[in-house]
Amino acid sequence: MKDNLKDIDAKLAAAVAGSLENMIFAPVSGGKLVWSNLEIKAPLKGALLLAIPWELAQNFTGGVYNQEEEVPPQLVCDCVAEIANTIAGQLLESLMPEKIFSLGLPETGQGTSFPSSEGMRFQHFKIDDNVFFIGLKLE
Amino acid sequence: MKILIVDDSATARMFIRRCLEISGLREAEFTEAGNGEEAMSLLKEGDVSAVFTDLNMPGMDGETLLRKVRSSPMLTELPVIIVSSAGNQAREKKLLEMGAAAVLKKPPSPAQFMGVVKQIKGKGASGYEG
Repeated sequence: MKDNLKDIDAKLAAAVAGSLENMIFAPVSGGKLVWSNLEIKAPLKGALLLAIPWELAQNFTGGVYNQEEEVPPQLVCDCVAEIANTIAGQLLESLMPEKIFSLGLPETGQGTSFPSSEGMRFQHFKIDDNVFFIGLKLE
Repeated sequence: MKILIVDDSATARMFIRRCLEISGLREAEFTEAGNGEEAMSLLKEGDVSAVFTDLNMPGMDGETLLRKVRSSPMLTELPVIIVSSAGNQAREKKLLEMGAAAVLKKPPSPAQFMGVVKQIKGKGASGYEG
């Protein structure tokens, strides 16, 4: 059974393209994501997950470092982590300006395996034509 | 003039440096640290005119760094500016009471830094001398 799950990411991409290209007659493209997950420790408990297409994250990072050529993957991850950290801070300040809040250190990765997103509400956002996702859980 | 930027994120250090350059510190020498321990080692080398530090870092965090700087006889006058996503109104009050020169919220913008840069330029270096 495990052998059937080999190359699952490529097989999923092919299934999406095979389905939608025949149903809506439009080309479909996809690719890997880079994500950063940040624990919200206090006064509420929860997490914020930011997931961005790799190419978009590379563009962000290239802009920050003023580099047109490909930026090293660790800088791309660092940039995504910093964005997640900043968004979490802005959100918590708007929710509880009178409380001292505490955030964990960001965990970052590439690919399709996120930390647990159980109980998260997801929203998508767009920059130009690039979609990215934010998951949020607050208890 | 030497400015120490302390943040575990290389991206954040780059942002802060750019903001400071745009705000009038184009000629400054910048040095960087990834946490409070590294910052304290650099401060012992002397000549630092101001520290811009994040709060949430692995190892020694920014609040502990601020406490250590404020309790060091050689660094009592050194301006420590907090630049953090966790720097809201409630935290700002506490940090100012602890001796922070200013608390700036991420994402940093050059406009936020203007007043602080003016303050630093007026003060000159006050790092370790011995």
